[in-house]
Amino acid sequence: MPTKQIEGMNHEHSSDEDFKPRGAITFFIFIVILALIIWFGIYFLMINTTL
Amino acid sequence: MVWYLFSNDKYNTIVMDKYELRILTITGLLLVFFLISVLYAVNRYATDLPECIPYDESFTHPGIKKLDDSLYQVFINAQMWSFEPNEMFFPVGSEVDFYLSSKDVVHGFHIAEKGLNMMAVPGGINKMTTKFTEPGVYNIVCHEYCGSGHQHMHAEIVVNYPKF
Amino acid sequence: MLGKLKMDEWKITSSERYIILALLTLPLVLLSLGIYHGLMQTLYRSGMISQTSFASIDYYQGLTLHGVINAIVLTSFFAVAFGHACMSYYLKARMNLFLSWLSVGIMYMGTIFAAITMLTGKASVLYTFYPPLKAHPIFYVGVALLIVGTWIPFFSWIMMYLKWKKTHKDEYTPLPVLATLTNFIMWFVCTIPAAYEVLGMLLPWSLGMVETINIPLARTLFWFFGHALVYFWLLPVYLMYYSMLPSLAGGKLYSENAGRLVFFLFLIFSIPVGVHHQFGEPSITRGMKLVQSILTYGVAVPSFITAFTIAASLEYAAWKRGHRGRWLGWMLKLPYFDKERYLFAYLINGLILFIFGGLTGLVNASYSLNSMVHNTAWLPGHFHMTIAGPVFLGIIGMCIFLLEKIEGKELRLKRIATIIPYLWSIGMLTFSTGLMWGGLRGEPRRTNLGISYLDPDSPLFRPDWIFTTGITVLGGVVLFVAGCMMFLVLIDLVLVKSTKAHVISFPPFEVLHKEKRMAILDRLTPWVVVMGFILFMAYIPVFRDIQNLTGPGAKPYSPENPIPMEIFKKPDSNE
Repeated sequence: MPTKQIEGMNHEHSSDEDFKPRGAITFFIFIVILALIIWFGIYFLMINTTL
Repeated sequence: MVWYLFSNDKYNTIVMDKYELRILTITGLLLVFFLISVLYAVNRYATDLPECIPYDESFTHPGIKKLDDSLYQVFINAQMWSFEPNEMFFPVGSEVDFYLSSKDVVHGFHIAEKGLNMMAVPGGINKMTTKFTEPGVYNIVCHEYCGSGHQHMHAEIVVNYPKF
Repeated sequence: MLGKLKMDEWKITSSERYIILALLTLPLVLLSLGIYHGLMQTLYRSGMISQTSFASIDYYQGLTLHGVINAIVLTSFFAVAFGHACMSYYLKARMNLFLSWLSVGIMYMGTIFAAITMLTGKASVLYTFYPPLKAHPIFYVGVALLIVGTWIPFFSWIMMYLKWKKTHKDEYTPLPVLATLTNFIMWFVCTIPAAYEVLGMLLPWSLGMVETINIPLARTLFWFFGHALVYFWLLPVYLMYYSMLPSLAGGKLYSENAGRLVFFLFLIFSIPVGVHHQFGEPSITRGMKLVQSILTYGVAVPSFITAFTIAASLEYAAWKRGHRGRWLGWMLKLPYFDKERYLFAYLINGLILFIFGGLTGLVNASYSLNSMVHNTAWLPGHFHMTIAGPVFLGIIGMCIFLLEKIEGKELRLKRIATIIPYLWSIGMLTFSTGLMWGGLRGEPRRTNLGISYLDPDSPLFRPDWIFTTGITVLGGVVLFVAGCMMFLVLIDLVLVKSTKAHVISFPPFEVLHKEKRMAILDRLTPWVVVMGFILFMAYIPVFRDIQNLTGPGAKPYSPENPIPMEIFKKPDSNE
């Protein structure tokens, strides 16, 4: 999918310094949640099976 | 010193981005949380890894020893391509210790229904204990490649209510 | 459209070009056999093929070929070829021709030896070659030659680097150079015990010079090597993620220092974790198994850092194009299907698969959780989303890219090249889901299920495994189709005419923040010392346990025969 030009894309005033990786943080939280789901899925399977 | 290593100094040439540090912290906390959970389960539910026994030839003679009505010891030998004993009967509610060794190559020993998973390594003795609380047939599958007959290497445990 | 990426070019000599070409040709040709066997296994396992062999190749022989070709030959040759390319390009230096050709020769010889023994059925021992199953001695020689052959370029790169340092005293070592060197330092250290296992234990035993060998010791030496092996595969692709992916996406690397830290963390944590492959084994105490489980959590840290840093770099690419959001919309503004940047497609699909591959790896590392999955089909489900995910896609994408550049060619089938990784991901996610689900239901790995557990006429028949092995076949077929398309693209590359200069060229390395140059992130020595210390603490107790707790050694066995082979010549036998 080609990247679209957004109207008003005149960002000379916002320099690289202004970039805050908020989306990346959201993505990371998503990874952590996925990790918890997968890991605890197996964990509770383990507890229920070994009992 | 630590502050110096990680601070954002006023010339705006940072050492490590503050978001990276937060990510490192979250990662550390997640891993510690996992570790604590594992150790808790080991303690509370006795879900541990196989117990390592120093090698002794006496463990390599296959057989079942009944210690009392609900306590058994099984000395099980893995070989190409069967387990000995390959059929076992236990009453419901019995606790069984499995002592596992191999007569030839490396084999696996997996009772999926009980989460009991260990390796039969020549020169080593492995031990795991489990309690059979439900009746039924439990499959012991060899899951380590041991030659051309590997896919047929299988044993069974039958757990039932004892006749009186 | 992002437009054409401006890339610096480094002209290479004819000899340098042929070295890289030689290193990439043999494994890519053998890969056809490796991929064929991947598909075949899914068919055997589901019971669609209910035989011990098909088309003259036996199941376990095919499995050995699949593992050795895909996981050892392809990956090692690529690491060396890509290492040559990176060291030359980023240091602007010439390759050491003598040492490079010597290593090509040795690696070729090793591969051919191993291939002949596998193809003639004399080495159906799988790529882990666990004793007491015994392969033909030439197999062990072949494996040893292949590994030792990879050390030689490493020595030449050290010389290259030291020479560069003399004239660039105040410069940060370029990140790709750091990545290559840390990767090969780690590789050199971890292959020494493996070389000892193969040449010092397995070879004499397989020749009948010693009667028995200590099995727990052999296994532990193998796994000292075996886990670091997977990072040896992965780090070249991480190099691409840090130094090439950001600009390829239209962004910049969010933090170079984070990247540097990542490679150093891999250096210290990749090796002292091998015992997590041996959690179910005797002769190693639970205490040491727990220690190495915790160290494995240590090696998970750099991957978490990478997930964030690369995401931030890609988000910056979207931000530069006007995206301002705090959720996941930035993911939509990346050049997924830009055929001029097909390499992006390979790298991004690798990253997506690695999310699942890495997280399932965390499960495997977690001490007692391992009992739920060890040696079940879950394991190949996990590792196909790592080695057959980011590693394989990175290797194939970079092979196509690098071959274009060093051959001075331009690929014609760029659109197909771009689609392949997406098809691969769909296949892989399906395939791994089937395997992991089946594994949790008790399906063993490395087993020809078709003639027993998935054979309706067998007393062992398990109808509850039909569904999961079936899903695996679906995934396997899609992967096979994607694999065929890869060969189509490679053939196009062979046939198209060379129109440009022979160069090495990579997407530019651009960083977002000007970070402080830290000596600790530019010196190899302190990290190597720490690596040695951790290794010592993690493994000395393990070897001591094995000495104390293990019984008699084992005689050699052929995979076909339960009676041990009597090849040991007793020194004082009477005629």
